[in-house]
Amino acid sequence: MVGTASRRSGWLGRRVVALAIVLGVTCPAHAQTGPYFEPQSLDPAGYELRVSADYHDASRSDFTRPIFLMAQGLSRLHARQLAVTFDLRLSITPSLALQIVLPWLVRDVAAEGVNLVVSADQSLPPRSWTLSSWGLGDPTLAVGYRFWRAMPWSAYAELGATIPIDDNPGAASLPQRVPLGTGQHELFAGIGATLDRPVALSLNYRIGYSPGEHAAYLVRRVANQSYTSGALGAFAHHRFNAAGELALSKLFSVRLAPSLTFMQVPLLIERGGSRQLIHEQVAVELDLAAAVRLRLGDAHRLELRGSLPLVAATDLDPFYPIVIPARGVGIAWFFVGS
Amino acid sequence: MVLRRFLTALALAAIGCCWLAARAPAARAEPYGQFYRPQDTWNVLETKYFRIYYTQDTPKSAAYLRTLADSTFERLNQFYGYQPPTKIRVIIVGYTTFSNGFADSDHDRITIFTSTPDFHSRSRVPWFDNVFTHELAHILSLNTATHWWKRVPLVLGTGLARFQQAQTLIKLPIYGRNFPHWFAEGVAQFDTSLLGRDAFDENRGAFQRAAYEDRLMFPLEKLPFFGGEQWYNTGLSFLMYLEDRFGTGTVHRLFKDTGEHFDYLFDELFPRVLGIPLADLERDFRIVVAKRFDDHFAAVSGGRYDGKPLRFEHATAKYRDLEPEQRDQMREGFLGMPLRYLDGKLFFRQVGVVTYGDFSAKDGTLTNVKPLSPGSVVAPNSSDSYFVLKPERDDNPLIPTFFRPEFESQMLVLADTDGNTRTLLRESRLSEIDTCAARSELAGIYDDGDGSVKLALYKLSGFGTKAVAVRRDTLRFPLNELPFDEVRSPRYGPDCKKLYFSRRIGHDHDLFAYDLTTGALETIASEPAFELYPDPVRDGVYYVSSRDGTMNVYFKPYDDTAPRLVTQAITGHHHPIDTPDALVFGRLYGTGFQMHTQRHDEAPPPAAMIAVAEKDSPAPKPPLEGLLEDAYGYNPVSPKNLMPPSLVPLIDVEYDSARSWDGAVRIQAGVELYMQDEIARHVLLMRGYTGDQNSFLLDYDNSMLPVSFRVRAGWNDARGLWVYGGTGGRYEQITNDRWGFLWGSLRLPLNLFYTVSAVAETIRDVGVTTGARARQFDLGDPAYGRELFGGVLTYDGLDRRDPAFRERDINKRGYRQFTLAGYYGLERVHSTLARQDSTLRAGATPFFRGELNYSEFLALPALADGWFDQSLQFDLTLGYISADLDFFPFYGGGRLYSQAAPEYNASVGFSGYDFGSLRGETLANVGVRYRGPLARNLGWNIGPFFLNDVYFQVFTSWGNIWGYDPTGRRQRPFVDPASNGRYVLGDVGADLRLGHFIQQVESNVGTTLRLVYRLVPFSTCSDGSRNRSCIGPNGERGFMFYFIVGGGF
Repeated sequence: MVGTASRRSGWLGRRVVALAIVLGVTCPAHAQTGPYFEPQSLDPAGYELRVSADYHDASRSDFTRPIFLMAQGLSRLHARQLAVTFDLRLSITPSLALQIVLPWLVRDVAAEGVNLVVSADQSLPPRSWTLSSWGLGDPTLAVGYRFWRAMPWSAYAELGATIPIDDNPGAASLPQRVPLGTGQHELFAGIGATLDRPVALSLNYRIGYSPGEHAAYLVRRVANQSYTSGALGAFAHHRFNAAGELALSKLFSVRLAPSLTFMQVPLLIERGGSRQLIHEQVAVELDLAAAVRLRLGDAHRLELRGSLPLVAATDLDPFYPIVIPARGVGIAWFFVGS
Repeated sequence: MVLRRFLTALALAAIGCCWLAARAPAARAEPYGQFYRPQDTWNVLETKYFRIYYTQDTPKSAAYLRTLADSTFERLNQFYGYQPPTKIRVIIVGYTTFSNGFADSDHDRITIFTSTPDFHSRSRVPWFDNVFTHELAHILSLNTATHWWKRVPLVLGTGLARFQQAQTLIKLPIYGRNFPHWFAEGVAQFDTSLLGRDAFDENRGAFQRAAYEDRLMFPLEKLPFFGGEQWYNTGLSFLMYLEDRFGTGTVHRLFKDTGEHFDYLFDELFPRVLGIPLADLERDFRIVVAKRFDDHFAAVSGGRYDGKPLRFEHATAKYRDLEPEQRDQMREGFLGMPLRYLDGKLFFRQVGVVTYGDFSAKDGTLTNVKPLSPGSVVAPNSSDSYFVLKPERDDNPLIPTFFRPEFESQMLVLADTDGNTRTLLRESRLSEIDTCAARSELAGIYDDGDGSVKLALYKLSGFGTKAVAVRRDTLRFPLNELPFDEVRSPRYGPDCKKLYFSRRIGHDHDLFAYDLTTGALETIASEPAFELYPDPVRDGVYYVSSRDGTMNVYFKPYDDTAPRLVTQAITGHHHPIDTPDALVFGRLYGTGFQMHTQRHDEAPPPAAMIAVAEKDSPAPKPPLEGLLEDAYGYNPVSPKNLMPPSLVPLIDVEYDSARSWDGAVRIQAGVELYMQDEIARHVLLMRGYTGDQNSFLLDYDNSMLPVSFRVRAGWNDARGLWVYGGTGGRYEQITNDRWGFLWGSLRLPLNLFYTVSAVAETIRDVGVTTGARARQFDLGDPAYGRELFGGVLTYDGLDRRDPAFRERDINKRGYRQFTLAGYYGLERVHSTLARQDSTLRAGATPFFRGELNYSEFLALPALADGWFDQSLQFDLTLGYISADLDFFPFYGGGRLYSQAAPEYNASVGFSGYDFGSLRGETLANVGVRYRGPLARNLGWNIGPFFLNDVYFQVFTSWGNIWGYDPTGRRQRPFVDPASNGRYVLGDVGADLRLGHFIQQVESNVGTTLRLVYRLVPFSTCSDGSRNRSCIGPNGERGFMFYFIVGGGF
């Protein structure tokens, strides 16, 4: 996902892992991964349907750097999201697979403005308001090609795109709703390797590129009561995903998945040029996800999961709260068919 | 409110259909695939590797299959080691007289129609064992040979480009399986032969000799186009040749390698595995076939006793003088199978018609030839009336042929020489007949639909008169019951005391005579070979035997002496009929059976005594009692009765030069999912695209009840960028357009042809949002909306679900189809829109909508010795809407669609005009098309592209769509000009139609290049003005161009 950011937590190391395990929550990388990211996935050829529900909760109080959605002064922006995701991975050949990811999102954002200073000794109290929206988020289409398989190792490449659907804030001045997507296409390519045993390990690098497009939430005023859609410049991100899964029994396994992302902050395209919105050109985030997986027969698996940002970029990310960091818990059901 | 009306309409429709169902006649054979017969009770039987589905009509087949299935799987799978993810399913269909089996290897599924076929080119092995093993071999071999995941049969790419006066549509499939028919069918026969249930036997040998002799043994590279039986014959023969040449296991090595590599070009397989190109292998194989023929020719005395072709009066050509292609094209004029010699006339069957003529043995000619009736066999009633078995549904001249060969059993009719016919038995289940005047009796072969064809006897009343009738209550089966009995060719002896017939005993057929007085059974011939087609005469019986490896005619005297050889076939002889001076028989050619005759004095000299071979007693069939005790009832919603889904990835690209609102280019990708239960009681299709346009379609059909229902729902969401000019420059707005629909119908088939439906539909246009604005409309309160509630009567003169259906074949037979629909409708226009546009009428507007679509397809007599198979099509479209509508009136104009918006595809059109340029509330359109060939049977292939036929089509269409004047007055059709200023519009056009397919998959791909000329241009705009920019290209005479790849042939 473009511009995924997370909030600095200050929690590190064993405390996080211990808490996750105690809570029965292990972590996949929340960041989307391709159809061959996990060892032995789609082997033999078949399909895998993953239906998940994730609850995310993030908050930002540092507004020294602006965000795209709201131009008004803010003191706090608290975003909550329930994401129900349908993730279908489909073999075409034993080495080639298609992935379709459809997220269904319900969002709620509570915003609190800043004091309106009327004079040196007078100010109006801050105003609060809430926004909500629901609907289909940006879907992702990808293909993966497993070009090398020598048990227990495999290597693959992947190619895909995320397609914008809904970026409408509902009004040209103060947004009436939270857009469900950034309005930007993302084309991505990746490469990865897996190890089946003795411990299932995955490593993946993915580069994403957004060519820069118009977005409905970027509003340009061209005359009185006349607005057009603004646009962003091209930007890219680099993401490193890793995961390790340890089977504790035939039915039960635990999983840890860190991910590191370097995200380029896009330029805002103006009439006659472009403008850098914030001083930083790159935002960095480090997430750690953990999960517990239960094997419910040959075809079914259940996953309980949670994720925490170890190094967050929330305060830098101008897409917030259109993009909400993956801090939260979730549950997923996997169905593997042949 | 709307929802309440919708539900009320559905309820009323349901009540209406239930009432109709109560009055509906008892269902007879229903189309394959639908399996909709309320009287059927489906049961399920489980074995170790199989799940068998059967009804109360097929218990014996199910029980026998249980004894056969698992051991066959284990023996066959030694070659492949295939592990099916679930149990292999076998569907047994017994209510038809269709005879065949099909394997759906994508879903590990076999369908068997349990009517034992009559044969002339297949193995002697009991058919049920053969067909099951053959189809199971398909499942194992094709899955082993498939590199793609079998749930994804293909990836489909679609492309669309629209310009002002030209449109292009491309549908390009990439198939995961890329095997020619001969390869797939050849290995199924090869594997079956390894289990002793098939062989390249006397019939296969005869078929190959016939093709070779006529130079019609197609090269392997031509077999993707034509082949039919040659897929089986050449496939088996060639694979056996490879196995001989390269050693045991070669064939299976080829299949396993195919599963490890995907060959977009099939031929690449052979150099990789065998080190020799396919063309070189085939050349060597043909040398072997030629030698085989030469050896046989020498062994049968050079054809001296092969008989001579019976010459038809007025025949313009001799078969042997024709080139191979001409033989194939003109085949029907030479075909003939002798049936009887009655009252001094030779009766024979030619292309589905029982025909008779005066036969002269002296000069081998047939004169005064006349048709008696469509049908397959004939038996005497009187000197001018005959019993005939003819295809069901072929008796009403008002109803064109329903093309579903052998699906309904034949009906028994009485046909006289004046051309009159009278039906005696409908769906008789009889396949062969004879009659006996002295006993007032009819003997027939009765298909019980459960694997047996039995000898049946009916008493007749009024025999010899035109009032003859079949006494249905006298039906009896005189022979002892044998499991999977196969009796053929009943023929009464000259004195009517005995009834002769052939009957399967073990792995071949023997001849018997049933004493009609005592009930005793006498063996006439029972060697370990075929003995078929008894023709009892005064002093003995003519019949065909393959005792020396060739189907020759023999004569067995009644005095119990040894039989004597009468003919020696270069290919094979069948159905001998004795006449006073000569024998007439069917002789196999590369194009089918033709009649040969051999005078009695031309028979070969008596050979040394023929030593009759003794036949071993056949192994008894296993007992079937008690094998169904653990069967259980079929549950169509049980997960284990759901067929695994098929998934087709889709990629779609559109370019529309006229679409500036949300971008000219749209790119979408998606997937289509199809699934159903095993006997197709309910079916689900889902198709979703995402990209520049997001769309979702759900289509569910349920046939569990006498009244079927179907629901479709769709949603579309298109995002775009609207670029426009303004003061100070160029501006952009993000756009978002959404609309959806919900459609439901209750459907009641009245008979094979007519279906009545109750339909309810709503379409909701949520409108376009630009930039960062709140959406003004939603599904409950749309910008535009339309509801329809009504009834539809459809007539369909063909069944495209028929397993044997091929579009090209049906086009040669002619058919008719029409749809008559009437609806009550409501149009909804949001008040916000009406405030912005005073021409719009806010709120709900009720209206009536009526439509008639009628098509008559006429197959004209072929010209140029059958090469020019011309056809004529007549189309009539009429429509009436009672109110002036803004949303979805009738639209006209040519428009091509990719798969992204299927629900718009119902519009009518004049292809010479822009889409949407014609619109209004009264529609009349008449079209005429004429088709004919430019080149046929080309058999060209370049890489994965196979081109077979090039046809032309010329067409014209006339009519108009009338609406309302700006004053609000309704325009009267043909009396007032329409809004385009014309009373009538018309265009003429021509198509170049290419019959082709892609890879080795013989599918109906097809390409059409269309050029249409607007004969009558618009003279005014819809507002009555004569502004040329408004009229656009429609305002001048000119061309429209279409280029359609993958639109079907």
